[in-house]
Amino acid sequence: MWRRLAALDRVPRQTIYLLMFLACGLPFFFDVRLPLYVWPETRAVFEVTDSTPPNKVVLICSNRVQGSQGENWPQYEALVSHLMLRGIKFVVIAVDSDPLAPQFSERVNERQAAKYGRKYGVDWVNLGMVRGAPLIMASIGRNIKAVFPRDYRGYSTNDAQKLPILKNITGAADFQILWAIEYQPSLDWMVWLDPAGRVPVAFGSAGIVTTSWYPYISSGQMKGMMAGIRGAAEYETLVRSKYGRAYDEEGLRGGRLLVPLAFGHLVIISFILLGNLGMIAKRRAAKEGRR
Amino acid sequence: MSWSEYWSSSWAVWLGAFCVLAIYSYLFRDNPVYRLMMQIFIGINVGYAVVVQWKDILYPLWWLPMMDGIDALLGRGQGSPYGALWVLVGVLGLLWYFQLSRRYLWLSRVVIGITVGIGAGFTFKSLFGQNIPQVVDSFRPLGPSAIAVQPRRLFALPQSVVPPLLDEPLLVLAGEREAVAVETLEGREVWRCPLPSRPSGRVREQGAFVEIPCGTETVRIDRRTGSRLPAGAPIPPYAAGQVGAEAGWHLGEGRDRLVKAGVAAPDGREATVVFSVVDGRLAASRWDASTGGGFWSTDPGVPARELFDGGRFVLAADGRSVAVVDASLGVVTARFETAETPAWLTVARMADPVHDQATVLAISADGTIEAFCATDHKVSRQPAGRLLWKAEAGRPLAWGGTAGGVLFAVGPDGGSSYELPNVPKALGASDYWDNWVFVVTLVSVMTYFFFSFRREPPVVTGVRRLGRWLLMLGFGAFFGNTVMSRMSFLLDRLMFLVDDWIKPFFHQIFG
Repeated sequence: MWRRLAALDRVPRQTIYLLMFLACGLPFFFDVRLPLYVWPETRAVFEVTDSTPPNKVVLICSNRVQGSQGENWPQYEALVSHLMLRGIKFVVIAVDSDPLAPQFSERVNERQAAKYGRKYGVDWVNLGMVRGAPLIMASIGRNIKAVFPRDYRGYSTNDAQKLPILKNITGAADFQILWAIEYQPSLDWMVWLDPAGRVPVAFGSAGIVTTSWYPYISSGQMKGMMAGIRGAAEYETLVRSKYGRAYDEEGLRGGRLLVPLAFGHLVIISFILLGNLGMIAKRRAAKEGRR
Repeated sequence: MSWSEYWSSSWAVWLGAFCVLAIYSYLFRDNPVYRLMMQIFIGINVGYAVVVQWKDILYPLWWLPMMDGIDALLGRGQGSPYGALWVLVGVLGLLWYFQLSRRYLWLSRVVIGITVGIGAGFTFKSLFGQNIPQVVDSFRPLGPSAIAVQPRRLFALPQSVVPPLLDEPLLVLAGEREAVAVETLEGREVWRCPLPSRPSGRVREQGAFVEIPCGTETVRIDRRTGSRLPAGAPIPPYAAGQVGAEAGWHLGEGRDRLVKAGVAAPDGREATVVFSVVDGRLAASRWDASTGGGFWSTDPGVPARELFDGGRFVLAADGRSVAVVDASLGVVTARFETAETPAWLTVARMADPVHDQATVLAISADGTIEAFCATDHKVSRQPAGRLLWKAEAGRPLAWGGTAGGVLFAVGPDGGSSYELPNVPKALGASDYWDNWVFVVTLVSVMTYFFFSFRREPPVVTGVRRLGRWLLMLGFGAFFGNTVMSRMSFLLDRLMFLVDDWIKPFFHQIFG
């Protein structure tokens, strides 16, 4: 028996990849949803974002590009859909990122704006990309319009007719929360944007780095985060549970990606167990052979 | 849709799908198609990034300001000639390329030195900003504390026989025979002004003046210099025209009516509202009754004989019983009993925004100061009405007010200012468990790294082994997240293949 089981130690990698493709790919053909427990770190940032008063804006630093869009895209789409649904004004920037980042953000902004009838310059503005962190983060906290004299479309940020959203916006005091969405957001935001720590900081990051943020959430330096795809799905769940049918989920990715992710995890866990079983069986078989 | 229409709109999706599958073909085995696609991707990415870098960054942010500056310098443009200094940035940037020359390598070190220096400066500040709060936060209790938090006494204040005026940065107190203004930061005296008789009403602000009713006369004092000005008309107990300028008036002798300006009315607008007790119920109505009726009426749960202003709350008291009522909604958020009958009630305004949760301060005539939760404190997990701390001033008190996390409490024999402690977090068993896990992990992992001698006591061996296990647990969590991230990339591409490629194609075939 041990000899047969020992074969599990030598499963061809092509078999594993094929099963992984099937486990992850098939759920896309069915509309399956998993029940989801929302973690406190997602709920905390949702509540702060949801309670944005009309005189403040949500600042989003989205450095999301093709290399990280597996996780950052669902996160950004979940956040922007919430803001567009509620009519919460937001400002999108990119700091020290790939120059393509503003283009990636704008595609999502326009898609969600079309759903809820929001208007560029009134409900949101994309200020493009700037380099020079961490000093530039402090400058954004002092006067964002000085850092970005023009927006991504070329309008002057002091033009109150084209960009009325920025009319009464100057710096940190006008930001309800900072969302930094990228593969690994910079911790410098906590230190430089508002040294007094009045602007809550939230991260939307790749799952691989989320364990690094817990000490900062625990100490209060960060308000919370969206952890990978799961975080995006949790955020969508929170918006859906609060706003019900008004929330148009067409095109949202978090909830949809969660199911294949769970199946993929099952495949990996199964092969870890089988691989270990194969290794033990191989040793036992070798022992029996020596006898 | 006809096939020609389908192909004209979907050729890019087919190309994308081919590229994705070509890259994933490496999972089967290395092959020329994979290598070709990889090189194409790298080439396209670099080429595209170079164009975007110039178009979106270098051209608008460096080239244009520099050319404007040069034009202005040569008298051909209207821009600032200082813009020409951007040339230096270009020159410094080009110095990097001397890395390629052995003879002039030292030139590249100039720009490397500048870059490293700036980076070190930033890193220094960043590390402190990120890690000092971590160090502070790591000092956590491993069990319930036997010592309660206490406010810290800052400086002494002169006497005040009537409620003083707290208008940052000044606190104006009215004693038996003189008014004194102290600044609120360090308690330094700013001015003194003698009074003709004992004050009979609270100190009030009237623009640039401070007014103190003294019997039939109203003493008017210059707010900046403290010099006495010609007496004004006697201040009536209340005056409709002045309500908007000063919120929180107690009307009449019994303090059973309170006027507050700037209350958020149910219609969303700010209004001046009169709070009064009618048949044992607390009622709120618009000051100017002609423009609207009552807002709400509620049973505070205590016979409200006295009303106090608590910012967005109204505090109703009867002896030691206190009810906290939301001024806008009329909802009773908390009820509690103080140890002594309060002479004054107020709601603290904290300096730290994290701890800026409504806390009622009860000032008693015997000098007791007590702090209670006005609402459920979410951050600190303290329930509404809970006693947070209690302090003794050691002298009779009659009034208290807060600003920026500091309490100013005064009475007929003087008073003091106190730095208010942040609301302590109510810790549960899981919090103590977390803190113990942290300490045990820290000690055992450090033991694992520090002690690796061949012969060591059994205790050290055990702790070291535990440290290794805990390290592995930590790595396991990290590995789990890594798997999730890597799989997310795969899912993103699979979603593209299924939603954008396979499904529309099947739809085209089968309709």
